[in-house]
Amino acid sequence: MLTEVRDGADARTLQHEVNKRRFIRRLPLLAGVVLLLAVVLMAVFAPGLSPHDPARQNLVHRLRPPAWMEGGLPQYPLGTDHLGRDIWSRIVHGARVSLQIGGLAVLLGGAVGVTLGLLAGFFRGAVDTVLGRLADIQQTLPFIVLILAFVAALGPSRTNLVLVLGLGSWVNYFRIVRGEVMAIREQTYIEAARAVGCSWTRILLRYILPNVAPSIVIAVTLFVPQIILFEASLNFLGLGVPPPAPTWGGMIAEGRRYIDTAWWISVLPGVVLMVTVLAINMIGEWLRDRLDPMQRGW
Amino acid sequence: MWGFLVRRGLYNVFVLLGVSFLTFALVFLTGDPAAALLPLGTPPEQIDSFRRQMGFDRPLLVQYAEFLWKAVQGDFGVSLRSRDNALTMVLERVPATLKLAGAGMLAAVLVSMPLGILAAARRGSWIDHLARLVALLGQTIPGFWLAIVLIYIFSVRLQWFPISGSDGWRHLVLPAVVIASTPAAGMTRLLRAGLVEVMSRDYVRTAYAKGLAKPVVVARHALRNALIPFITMMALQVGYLLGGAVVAEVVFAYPGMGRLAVQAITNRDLPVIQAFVMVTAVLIVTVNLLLDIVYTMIDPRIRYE
Repeated sequence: MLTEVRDGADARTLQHEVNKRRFIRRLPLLAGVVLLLAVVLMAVFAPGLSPHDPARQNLVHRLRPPAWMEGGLPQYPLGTDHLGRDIWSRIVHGARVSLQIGGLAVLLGGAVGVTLGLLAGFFRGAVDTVLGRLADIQQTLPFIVLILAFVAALGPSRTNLVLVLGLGSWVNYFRIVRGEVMAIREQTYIEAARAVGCSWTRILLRYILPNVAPSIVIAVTLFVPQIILFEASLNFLGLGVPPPAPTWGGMIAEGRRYIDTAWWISVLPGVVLMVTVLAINMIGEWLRDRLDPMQRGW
Repeated sequence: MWGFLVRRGLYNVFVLLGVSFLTFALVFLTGDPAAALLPLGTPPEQIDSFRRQMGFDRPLLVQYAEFLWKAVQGDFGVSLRSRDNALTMVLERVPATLKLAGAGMLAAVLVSMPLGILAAARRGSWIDHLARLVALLGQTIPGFWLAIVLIYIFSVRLQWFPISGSDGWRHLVLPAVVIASTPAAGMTRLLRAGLVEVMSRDYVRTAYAKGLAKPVVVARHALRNALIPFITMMALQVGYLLGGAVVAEVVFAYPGMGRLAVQAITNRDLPVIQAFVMVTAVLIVTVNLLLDIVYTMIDPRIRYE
């Protein structure tokens, strides 16, 4: 905090100081955006970025360390796994799987949760009670237990993963949106809209939804990292995308047995996974600060 | 107070009924319940006769009533693999998982309490930044990856703790740290935020005005009031701990019910999964009930309601 009041001569340095502080405050956001962008670009241009087919085995060059270490080869920048597959190519393609499933699951869960939250908050009554109870029942179970139960019934596959992760997370969006709508529907401008004869769909979509949007954005930044982590956990447990598709969770699981001789198989995909989650968390925290100044957290 | 507890109790029964319906429905999500409950590769005639024998052709509600009646008596059917009673298999592993979850809770409290308090008491200091970093890492690091890295550092390299297994407290340390990482992050955040808010209240200013030292004010006046949401948060984390235990038990080959569940999924052993889901729900509902009782003890507003 700048407490000293200075005279005109110092105005320029003062302005400079303010700019500097503003920049430092935004540094986490900047870092988050850059890192997330890097991962997204990695996923989009996966085929162009990977020197090898991610599933291609080469037993001659199995368990090669990263290129900068002794015994590493330049054609395998991050080394190879126990089947001689290129770690870098697998990480890059793993980004695709992770972001695809995470993105689709969030779209699905968000669409269902936001729609139901709008309806429950607006109409209240029986709709609200039934949905609220349903949410309570679902949230009694830890998310991973719920997911495991459904994967057990449906069987592991890419589509089922999106379905399970998406439909499993509707509650989070539902609760946030419902609460906001309850407050907004009492505002005078909603009353005005009603008085001039707007239909309820118009009120919901034109007057309420835009006001709920910031909260939805916050919810997304909160739950996307969690969805990505859960998706990786399932792949780690062997209950996600079936092999040979490269996934970060799957790679970490495969490298477990070689952790004392070839740490890079498990550690490197874990680092990329962490960076992805961290990037979204950093963007999310900045957004929460901006959109919800009442919050007294960090 | 009794009215409150009875209401909460009834509500929890309702929630358990809901979870039981979900559990019941799992078998039907497979498409064909008869086929799902028989080993892969069973001839179709046999599946048909099994379907009639089990009554899968009857109305759903009748079947649910039967499922519920049996479940209440502790009968979830037998494991498709070992032919043992599914519920017994899960219950046998509950103590191990509870021990792990308890150790995880202890670890989470041991980290979050001092960090949260110090961060709030010295806002903007290095310890505040450290706490923020710990909280951020806790919610960022994937548990299973942390487990592998910890095994590499502390079991393979330093050989302080065993790689896997379950006898003695040494086996609990690493898995407890793994499952505590996310809850500890949330608890630190909450405690700090709660304390920061309470510290600006009038009664805290009064306490300072009386001439009390900062540690006394924080401990006697601020902390007590920030503790109610913290205790709620602790109870909510039980779900996270049980969920995290699934992954930790697999990595550390710890013989709890989470590992059993993952094995059951790999074997498509649905009765065991059903028993696991129900047992987890009962455990969490029990914790919630205990929490309600604790509320009545620490919060006079509920006691005199």
